[in-house]
Amino acid sequence: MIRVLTIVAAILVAATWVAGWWGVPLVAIVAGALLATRRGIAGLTALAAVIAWSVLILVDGASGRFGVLAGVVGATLKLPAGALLMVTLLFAALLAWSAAAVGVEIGRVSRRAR
Amino acid sequence: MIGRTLRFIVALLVLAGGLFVGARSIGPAPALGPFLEPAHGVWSLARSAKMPAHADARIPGLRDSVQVVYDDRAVPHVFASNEEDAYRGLGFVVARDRLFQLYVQTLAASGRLTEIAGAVTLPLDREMRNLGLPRAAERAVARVSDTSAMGRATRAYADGINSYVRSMPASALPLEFRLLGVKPREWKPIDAYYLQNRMGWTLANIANERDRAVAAARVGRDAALALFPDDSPIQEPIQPNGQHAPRLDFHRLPPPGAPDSASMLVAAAADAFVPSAQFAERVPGEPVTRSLASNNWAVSPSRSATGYALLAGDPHLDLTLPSIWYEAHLVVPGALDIYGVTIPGLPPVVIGFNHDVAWTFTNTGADVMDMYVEQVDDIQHPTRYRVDDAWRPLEQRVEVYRGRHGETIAVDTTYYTHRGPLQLVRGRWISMRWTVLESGREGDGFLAAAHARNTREFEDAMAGAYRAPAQNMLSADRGGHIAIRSTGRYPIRPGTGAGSVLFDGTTSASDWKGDAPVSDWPQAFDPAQGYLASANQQPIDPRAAHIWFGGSWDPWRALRINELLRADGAVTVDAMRQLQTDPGSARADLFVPYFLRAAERVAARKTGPNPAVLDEAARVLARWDRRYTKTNTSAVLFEAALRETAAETWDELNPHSDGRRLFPSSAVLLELMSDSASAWWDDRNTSAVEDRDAILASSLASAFLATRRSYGAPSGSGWEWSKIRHANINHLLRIPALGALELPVQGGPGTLSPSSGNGTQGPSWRMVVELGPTLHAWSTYPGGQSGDPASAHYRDRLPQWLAGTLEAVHIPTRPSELAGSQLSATLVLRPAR
Repeated sequence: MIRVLTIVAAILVAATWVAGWWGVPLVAIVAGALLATRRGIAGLTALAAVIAWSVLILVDGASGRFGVLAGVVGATLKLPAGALLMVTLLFAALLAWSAAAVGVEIGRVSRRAR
Repeated sequence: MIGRTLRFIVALLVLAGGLFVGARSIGPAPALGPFLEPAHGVWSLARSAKMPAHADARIPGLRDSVQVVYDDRAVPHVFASNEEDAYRGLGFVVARDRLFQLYVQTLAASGRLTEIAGAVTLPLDREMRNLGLPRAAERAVARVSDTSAMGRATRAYADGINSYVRSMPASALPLEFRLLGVKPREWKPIDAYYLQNRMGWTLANIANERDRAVAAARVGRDAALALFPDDSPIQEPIQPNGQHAPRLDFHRLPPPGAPDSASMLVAAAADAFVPSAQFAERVPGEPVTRSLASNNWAVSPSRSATGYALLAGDPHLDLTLPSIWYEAHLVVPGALDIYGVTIPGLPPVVIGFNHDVAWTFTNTGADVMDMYVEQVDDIQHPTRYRVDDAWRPLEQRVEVYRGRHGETIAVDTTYYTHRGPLQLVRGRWISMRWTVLESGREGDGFLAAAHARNTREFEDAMAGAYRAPAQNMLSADRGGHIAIRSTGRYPIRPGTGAGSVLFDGTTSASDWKGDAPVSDWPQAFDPAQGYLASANQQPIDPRAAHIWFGGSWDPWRALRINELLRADGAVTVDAMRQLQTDPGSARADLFVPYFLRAAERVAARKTGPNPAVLDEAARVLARWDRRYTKTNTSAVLFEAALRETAAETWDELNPHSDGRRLFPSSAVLLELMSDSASAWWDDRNTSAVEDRDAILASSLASAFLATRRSYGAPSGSGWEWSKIRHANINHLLRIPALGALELPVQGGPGTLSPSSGNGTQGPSWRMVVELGPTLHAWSTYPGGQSGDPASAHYRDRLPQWLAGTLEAVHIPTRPSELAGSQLSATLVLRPAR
């Protein structure tokens, strides 16, 4: 379980870095389809997306100006900085969960067809 | 089975929704996917908020390596082996710090804001295009020779900008582009000309003749001409006139007369060409040019404490974040060494200094826009216009306005005569001629002046190329010379020479007869008085002028500067700095005694306002030192009383049925003070006949009551100026979180650091230069070098600006001269392979 979580999260980090946000639903749908028989894969993929984006945010956060940036962007959108971070992670989680859940169905259908 | 199907449907819907909000912007909200994702989205901006200590990049066209060292104030010092490479380097570093500003200012100047904001900005874009500003830029570019200094500099500058954009990591895309969901486009040399014309629109578009025309329609021509005069009633001109004190040219104002409705055509024409101006804020009693003004002064060695020439300048413009200015230093050993501020998008240093000469500008404010009633062949669909009994073809131009996704928002056909753009106004076709539309070589003037070795060379270099907007160009050099010249194009009109009438377009006799020669421009070189000063006052005493300047003049700051410089025979650098935020007010000095005397006289009459209220109001005003310090508690009453007085006095100009408010300048109000029984004092809404003292006393009493209602008792802290008068520095997109709002400032209407209206205009750059054997300079501006709101240099200079302090600037002659704590980052630009 943890191994799968780690691998999916690592792939999501790489996919986001290479393909941007589209990387999340793409990886998640493939993960769902390939691991369709594994129970709770959609939730696990959502968790992996949260971990992946958190890692990337930590990389951004290594800059001393991250706090200022979060405050500025939050104030611009009239949101507390923390809420904007939560929205970011929630967005990744929803994308990953929904895409993985769709992937699971695609995986089941394709298995049945075979 | 049903549960699984349901879960699938829910997942599908969530995924579709996520993809939709991820990929599409909804209303003002950006598309969430690219905005939020942490590798390249908004969070990644944290990685570029701090400039790396060392960086390098490649630029096509670069002939040799360029080394840029950033000092501790984030000012780039660009060292190159030739001038074109220096401007390539400048383009690169400006784009690195101010990319969004470059982009949005150019869209505004070229009438293309709809491409990022949609139809809401269509009126602004239409104004730019209907004025013919983008067309003028195209024509200017077509006239520029490929080998001219400006032609080469703008191409090199564009190379630098485009190289930065191409090499910029996705994570460095500025926040504003992300919010708008757009990307920077390629920068073109013509963009510099759009921006140059935009400055013309800001500074050479004077409302005096429009206001005078509206006044004539309400109170007749004679009264209108007196209320909105060509010549200032207070003469303290830029070109010294040999007087040792200001001259008050006060006349008795003609009473309100019969309305001259025909005058409204002039106002309607002005409104048609510059519709935004009719909505400009007009505050009764405040200086007519409000805060969009500037100061400069220079002191010759005979009056400076160190025996060196001193120069100070502070242009007052719209206060924005990022600032209109970008500070930079360009060095080409043996050829160029220039320091100062540039307008992002324009290569030349506009205000600054080289090794020998320092310079700074104020706006001249002359009337250089004329209008002509044309005869066309078809009122609905004109194709020709008539001049000297012959038809000439109209130039037609189709203006297409596009939206964010390239869709067409509007299509207009615009027309041009040989004079300029044409507008249908109240059933008449009216064309407009404006020096701004016929300029274009200003950049060559700046680039040549950068090499000047003394004030004469500087002034002559600018006079050789610079035309619009006309500027009072003040310079001082290391040889101890000081000079000023109101440089610009002043057309010679037919008839009386005045340009405030509608000319007959059917005859070429109405056309401009040429331009005033340089010898007729207001100017002075090393005057006997030992100093020079300009602050948007009338540039030349009308008794000495050979040409008509028109315009609207603001004498208050000029009076104050001259008063202080006349009194100081040993001016220091620190005194120059302190003058820039001096809280004293010539306007208050002249008006307050009238209020106090009126209160005394009206109290003796035992008529008029409540005696106790009037007495308390007079005591509050009398105890004021007439300085707009942050802690003073009387300026609020004086300003309210003057506003009330202006509103009461000029009631004939402001009929309740008309939304357009009209107020003569406070200098004209002062002129009226000398005629205590003028018909203008009478309040038409009362049966009694009021005189000056009655109006002043009632205005003071009602201002006191209104101020007490708004801010509490005068003994409390509510009347403190710092709680009432604020500077408001808006972000370019008016996003409150990215601006700096409600900043308490020292200064008020008409002080040297003026603050009036909504506080969005003011000193945009402050500089003091001492021209000794080694040149020293101090500066600041309201903002910071970086356009990135997350950068430490986004608004780091605001505290200095608010406190009225300046920082010593670094002027290294070699990159290695900046070391240790003075050096913040380096950048090496190399030729692209």
